[in-house]
Amino acid sequence: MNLNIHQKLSLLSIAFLLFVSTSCNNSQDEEAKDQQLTEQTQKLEKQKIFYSLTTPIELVALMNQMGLFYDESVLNPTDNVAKYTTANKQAVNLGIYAADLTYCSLFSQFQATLKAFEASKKLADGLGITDAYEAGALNRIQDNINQKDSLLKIISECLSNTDAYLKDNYRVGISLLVLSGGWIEGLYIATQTNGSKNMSPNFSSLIGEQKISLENILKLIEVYQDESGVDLTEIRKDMTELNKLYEKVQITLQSGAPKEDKGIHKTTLTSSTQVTISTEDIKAISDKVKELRNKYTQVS
Amino acid sequence: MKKLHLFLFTLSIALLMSFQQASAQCKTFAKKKCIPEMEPYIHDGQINSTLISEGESVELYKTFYEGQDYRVLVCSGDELDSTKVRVRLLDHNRKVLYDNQDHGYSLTWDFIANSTQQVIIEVAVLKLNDEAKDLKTGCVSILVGFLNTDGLTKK
Repeated sequence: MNLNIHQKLSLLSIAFLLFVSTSCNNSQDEEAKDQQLTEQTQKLEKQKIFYSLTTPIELVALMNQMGLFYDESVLNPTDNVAKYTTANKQAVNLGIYAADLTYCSLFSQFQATLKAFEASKKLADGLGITDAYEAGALNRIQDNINQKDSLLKIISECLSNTDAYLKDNYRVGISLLVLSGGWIEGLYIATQTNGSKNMSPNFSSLIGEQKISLENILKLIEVYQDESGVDLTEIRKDMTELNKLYEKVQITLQSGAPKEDKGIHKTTLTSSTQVTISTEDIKAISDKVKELRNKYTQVS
Repeated sequence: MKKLHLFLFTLSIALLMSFQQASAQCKTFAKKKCIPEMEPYIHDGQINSTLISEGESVELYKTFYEGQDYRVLVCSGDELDSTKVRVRLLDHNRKVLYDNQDHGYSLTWDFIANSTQQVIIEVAVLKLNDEAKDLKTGCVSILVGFLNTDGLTKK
């Protein structure tokens, strides 16, 4: 087909107008979607209720105090990191590596700590969370490799940088996936290194008490599943299945009067909790946690 | 008329932007002002901040684990009078376990949990005068830290 210069220019103009019109529509759609997300998040903020999940650093440090073993084979291989390409996979594995980072740094495993830190940084960068895992933090880890409190504080900073960035940018769904991944990894480390059959009563109780954390995760998923801009269908299904196994776990709380020590600004909460969890329940929960954790870390 | 519409549109955009900026600054404020006050406790890594007005309250649900030592730290922005920030710790039945009104409105308090339980940290900005029309709004952050004790064993 032979076209003269005017026809060519007309076609070019139409194509340009179509392009501009489509771009504007896409841009307007995206802006409208962003605006909707912002409004929904602000609406939830107006309800003024927060659920503070048990974070990877808290869970792993808690398990350490109960006598955790170090076993490098339970860590998620850091070679996998480049293959996590979707935002959901990156977010869940960022939480998993945060738990691994806490675990190996508490045992002064410098090489493993370095690898977990670099893997976390790559995933955080991939999610657009710049400066959460800054290079200076790595130098500080190196300088404090035998100072466990200092290491925990550095990791805590990385986590709070991540949390603040995601909440500032109304990406609560991603934040929820990070914390869920870290929580699953913490449970995975606990059940794999302690063994479900000969687990100490303290550890059994801690596994049972995670029923409360799981309920909070499910409540948050419920709130944000349609409104976070992130598809939470899979994590909701997985956590619901795990919750079914937790239905058999019984937690009873007996209230007690708190005791205050005004001199040191401290109150002791004296209520007592009874956790009933059978060996079979622990085995079933451990197996499910292993299945989920392997699914999340699997390279697709 | 067109000019009025344009003015109102510009004004609403400016207000929305300033609200979003204030909300984001709220979290930055928590990082800069509050976390350093957590020492020697280790911040759990979650920042729970919001804009709040006098007469409003906010609640944080948090699990305290058996035998653990926790610090609850509430920070309020300069816009709010910190002596009007009331902090209470409630159990799952909303029974009051701690009230900072009994402790000079202290914004930091430590807790030891003898057993694992979910607690509610309630923070309210008091409105002392019901007739007041000019209610102040500012940032409030609730942070929780824990003390680490070791018991490490290498396989």
